[in-house]
Amino acid sequence: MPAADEVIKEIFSDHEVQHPPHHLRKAITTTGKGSAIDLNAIARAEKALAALAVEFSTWMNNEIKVLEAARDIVRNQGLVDETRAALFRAAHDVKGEASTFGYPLAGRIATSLCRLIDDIEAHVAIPLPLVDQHVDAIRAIVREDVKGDGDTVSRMVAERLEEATRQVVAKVNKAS
Amino acid sequence: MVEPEASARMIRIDFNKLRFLVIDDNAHMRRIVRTLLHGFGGREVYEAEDGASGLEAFTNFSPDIIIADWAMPIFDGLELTSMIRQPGANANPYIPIIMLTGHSEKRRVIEARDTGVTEFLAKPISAKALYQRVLNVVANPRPFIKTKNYFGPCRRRNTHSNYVGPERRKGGHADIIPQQALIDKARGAL
Repeated sequence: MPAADEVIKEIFSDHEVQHPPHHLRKAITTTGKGSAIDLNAIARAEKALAALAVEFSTWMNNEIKVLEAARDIVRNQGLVDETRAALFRAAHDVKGEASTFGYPLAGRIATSLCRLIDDIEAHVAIPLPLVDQHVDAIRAIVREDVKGDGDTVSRMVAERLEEATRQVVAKVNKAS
Repeated sequence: MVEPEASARMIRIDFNKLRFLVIDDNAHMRRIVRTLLHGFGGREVYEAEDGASGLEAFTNFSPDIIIADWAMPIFDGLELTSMIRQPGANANPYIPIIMLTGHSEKRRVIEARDTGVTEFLAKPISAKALYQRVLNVVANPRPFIKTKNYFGPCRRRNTHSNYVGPERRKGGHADIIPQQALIDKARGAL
């Protein structure tokens, strides 16, 4: 019988299959019949997350300040690797968090901004007015507290920005 | 990801027995993940704010599971994964790594998988999705594969008889290099 810490290895001509010890077994308990998912644990976690929700509006504003600051640095210092990466990280954070914070439409616009930065080849300049329009739209959505999928106007703004990004990315990458 | 199904035996994860390391440059996201893990019953949740301090915390705290962001300054989640998936270079190159990221494009998922990430969790995060990823790495651990170009969890989650893609592993069972049985090794050592 292998020792508790031993990795069992099957050695083939061009690869190895390794079976490390299953240390995390310590956290498994099996009980009677039922769902594989512990719905009570999920409900507890959702309740804990809901208690944090009072902070979400402030946190969203903080994220937008970071995004605006990154945009301002790009304006002042130009679009070099470092400023471009910082702008992308800030947009990416908004993309990942906005839905959790209750602003999925802001997340959708941030997704378009991420594409604008990430899908245009690194040596090509990103059109800054379009960056500004994305950042300003995200700011407006949060300022007006547009929750959920938003209204007709805000959805139209998001669609127009997505379309503009698609066109610019296709045009710029084709030209380069 | 294997969706857990209702089964005859109900599996419960005791989060209190697991030590987590959450690596994310965004303090809000770290707080959300920590809140969810505590909600599940977890107690030991360590945090790091970039890849470098995450690697240091991995060495110092010996976590059971890492939950890491992709986009981070200094070095990112993929670079962190590459550094951890070095057999012999650290205490636990097999540690489950759950990548929590705003990247959801297919090419990103494949890139993460080919770097050795165990589970991929796209933002926005939900309690259920996080629970499922933890359940998967705890209850359904995959063997590790070591080739010239890859060391990480087996990337074959399913076996399809009609698979038509490239066959990366050609060494069938006929090519197994015989190893001395452990019991014989033990006898030989006496």
